[in-house]
Amino acid sequence: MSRNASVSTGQIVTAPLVTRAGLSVRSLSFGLTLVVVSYLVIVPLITLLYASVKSTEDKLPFETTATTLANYALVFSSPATPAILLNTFLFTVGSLAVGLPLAIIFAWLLERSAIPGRAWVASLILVPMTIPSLLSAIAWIQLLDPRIGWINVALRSVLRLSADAGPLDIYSLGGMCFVQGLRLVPSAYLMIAASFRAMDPSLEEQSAMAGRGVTQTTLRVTLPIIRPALLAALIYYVIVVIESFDIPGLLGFTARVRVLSTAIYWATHSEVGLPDYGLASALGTIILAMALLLMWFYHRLTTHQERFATITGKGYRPRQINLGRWTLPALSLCVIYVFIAVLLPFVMLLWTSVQPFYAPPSVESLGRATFDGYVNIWRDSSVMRAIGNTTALAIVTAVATMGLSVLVSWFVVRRRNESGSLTGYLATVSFLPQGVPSIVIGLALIFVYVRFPVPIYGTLWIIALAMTTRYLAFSSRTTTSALMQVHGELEEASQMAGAPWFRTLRRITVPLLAPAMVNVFFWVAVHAMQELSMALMLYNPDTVVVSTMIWSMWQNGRTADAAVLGVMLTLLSALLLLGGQLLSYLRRNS
Amino acid sequence: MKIVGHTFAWTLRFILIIVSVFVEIATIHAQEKSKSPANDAIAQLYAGAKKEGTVVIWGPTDAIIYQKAQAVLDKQYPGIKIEHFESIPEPLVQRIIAESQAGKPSAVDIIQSGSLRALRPLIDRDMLSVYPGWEKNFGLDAVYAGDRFVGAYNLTLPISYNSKLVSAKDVPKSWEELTDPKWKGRKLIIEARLVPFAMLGTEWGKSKSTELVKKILTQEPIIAQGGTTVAKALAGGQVSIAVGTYAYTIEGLKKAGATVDWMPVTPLPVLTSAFGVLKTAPHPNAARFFAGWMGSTEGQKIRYETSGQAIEVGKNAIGNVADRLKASRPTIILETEKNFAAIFEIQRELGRLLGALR
Repeated sequence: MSRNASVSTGQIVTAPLVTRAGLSVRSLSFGLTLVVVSYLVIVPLITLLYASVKSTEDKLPFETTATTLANYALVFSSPATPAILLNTFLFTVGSLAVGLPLAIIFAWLLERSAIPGRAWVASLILVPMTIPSLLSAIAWIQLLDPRIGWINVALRSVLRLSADAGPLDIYSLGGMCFVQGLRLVPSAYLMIAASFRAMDPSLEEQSAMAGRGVTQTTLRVTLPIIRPALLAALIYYVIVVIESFDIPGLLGFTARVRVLSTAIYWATHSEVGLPDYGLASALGTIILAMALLLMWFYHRLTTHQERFATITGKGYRPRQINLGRWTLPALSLCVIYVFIAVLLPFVMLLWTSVQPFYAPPSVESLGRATFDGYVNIWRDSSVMRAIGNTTALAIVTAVATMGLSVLVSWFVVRRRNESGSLTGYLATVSFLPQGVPSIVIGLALIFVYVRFPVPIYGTLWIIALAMTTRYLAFSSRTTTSALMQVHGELEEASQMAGAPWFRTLRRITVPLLAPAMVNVFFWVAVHAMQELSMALMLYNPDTVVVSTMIWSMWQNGRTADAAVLGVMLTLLSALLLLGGQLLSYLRRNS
Repeated sequence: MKIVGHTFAWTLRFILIIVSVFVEIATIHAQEKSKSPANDAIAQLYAGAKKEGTVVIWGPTDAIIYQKAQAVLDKQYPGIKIEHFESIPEPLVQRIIAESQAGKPSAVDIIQSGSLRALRPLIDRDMLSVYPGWEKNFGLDAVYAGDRFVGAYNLTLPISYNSKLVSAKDVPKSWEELTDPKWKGRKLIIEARLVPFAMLGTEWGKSKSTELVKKILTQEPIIAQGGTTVAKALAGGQVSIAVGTYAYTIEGLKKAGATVDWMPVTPLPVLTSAFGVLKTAPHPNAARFFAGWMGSTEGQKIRYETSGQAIEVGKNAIGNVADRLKASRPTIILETEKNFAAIFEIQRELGRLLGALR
């Protein structure tokens, strides 16, 4: 079967020949993957569904409470619901409209074009992901606040406006979409970039030989080929935006834009007593239903997955396109993004870390600047413990999630024709945790592990388990879409040469998936370093992590100390990312 | 001259005798006092605490406060080690309930929260022990829910302002003045949970406070989560007026050089942070002793000097917030077990204005 045949005819890849031993190892791995993923996902999922039909006002879901559909009735009968759903839709569409095109453009520029300073831009583009979300959102307010936001002050000065506020108002639906969209770019870029990197350039060359320009080739050849990755990113980020609360929480209350996550926030942050898990779970179930619907569409749209396979056994050699006269505009776009999304928020974070209280930059506030926070922070005995725990947690979670995702993806993509329903189940189940609110995952794990004789309760392992569950959706989406582009014939060849399944996976599949795996590793590690909701539910004095420390310091009014830790966390994460990018770069060049 | 010298010597002798008598009386009084039943009870409690050796406390207090408390405790009451787990009370309360239901009671003695209401689930489930000794022996008046809680500190919720942006005469002197059109358009920041307005509702009635919030929302205020974020916006000049941050936070910012201040409007909501000792506490004597000691003037001073937090109302009140409250004498709406159900109901109603469904 030739490469072109696989692209043009949509011929189904045959199941590779395997030895008896290979089959047993593979079947065992498949069974094990099914069990592990089911176990990880089903515990919080059952908690979610169970809690959604319990009357949980002032009760935990597992206390004796009546079974009822009142939570759903409340959601669907509330006069606020239509506006909430409409706002959620607009916020999601708006954020994706800002974030995804930028991510696609950056992925193409940095993976397929010969843009100068590629390694640097590729690393810098990821930095916004490393700034803790609370501090990042506050930095954006400091930049775009109508009265004192640096950008607004600068614009008023440049445009000679006499008003004392504006012209931009971050407290609006537009402002929310802009900030949320920018925050999506690094993660979406990571998800899409691996697919661009794995593309066979000969398809584009053929298009060029047929007389199509760069734009035509991109629209008619490149984008259709990476459709699985684009769809995966689109579906994933629809759910991410619907579920995210950082931006709606900081800007949406003021903008009076209520979304689904705002309603979940109110249900889970009861000022008196216990969270209203029933209502929160009913709302979570709605998000889950949306996730399932989107997964169904995804499956339909990627049914003939082999059409997207571009890495085959013949002539796979990624190549960069010369941008010619577009080099300068492309580079300018990257620089502008880095300036707006990376430099400005980071400078704001640094500024906050040297101020006893926040004040806009002036001679007076400059005089108050102090680096005491950077010295004093080490006097807190738990800081070193928190840094150690955070690093361990990030590595364990990233390795576990990455390993599991590769297995999930392999079985979903390669065994689709053999065990359709089971692989369909695996693909769907691995995506579902994205629809379960973090606080529900935390509670489910407390409930289960406080009873089960598995000695992980109160250790870092339980937090790692919660995070692995949570990040499985992103990582399996990323590795699945990347694997779809790797044709099965490479593995067939290996196995026909006598290599057992696991060796083939290790020696052929994993190296080809390496770009996606590196992305998954760093994405998960950075997110694990910053995760707060589950950590707050599950940590104890021995398992304190940096995110919970930042949060505590902020709540106690130690804003400068929180910013100092934020700067350190950002630098630590950025170092990790830069290390990853450097590894990728060295690997590519070797 | 001789007579004068003689008289002077006798006067001096007389004064010395009087002073000696007073010193003797004071010593006897002090000894009597130290032998009083209250002090005996505290001494007995301390002996039990020392035997237990440790007190485990979960709550939102900054770790530095307990580090300083440990240093003082080691000198005055040696033998008690403070083990502190800093976190917000809500997940802690859930964990305590879940662990208790699983038959594995949490290894914690004291649960503390920034507001009394957050600990309500533990009262509902009868998980807190009763200790009348806080009032009887330690002489504390900030004791709640049938001797289940002792006050740790208060959080006064005034109207705060940026004194660089607002002149003293323009500062709102009442809650209703927040609806003045001059505060329209992102000049006002309010904390998203709307606690002060819910507490005002217990004094005014639900409908009046709901109407007030509705009117304030038409002023296009900035709505932020958390008292720190609110205070930060005020100090940074992002807004002129703030509601939902604490008086002690504003005092701290003032001390650091920020141009902020607060207005003790009447009625004035005041939250209660309290310690509660769990029935399953592994170190019950240490817990009761430590909670009582932290609530006493001595413990208060450590907390106040480290963080600015203190008991701000009642007979044990200390600090500059308490001084200003004593001077201005506003009507205080203090959070207690008697009004937290009402506060909850009003807060739920107000939450709907910001997107809550229930």
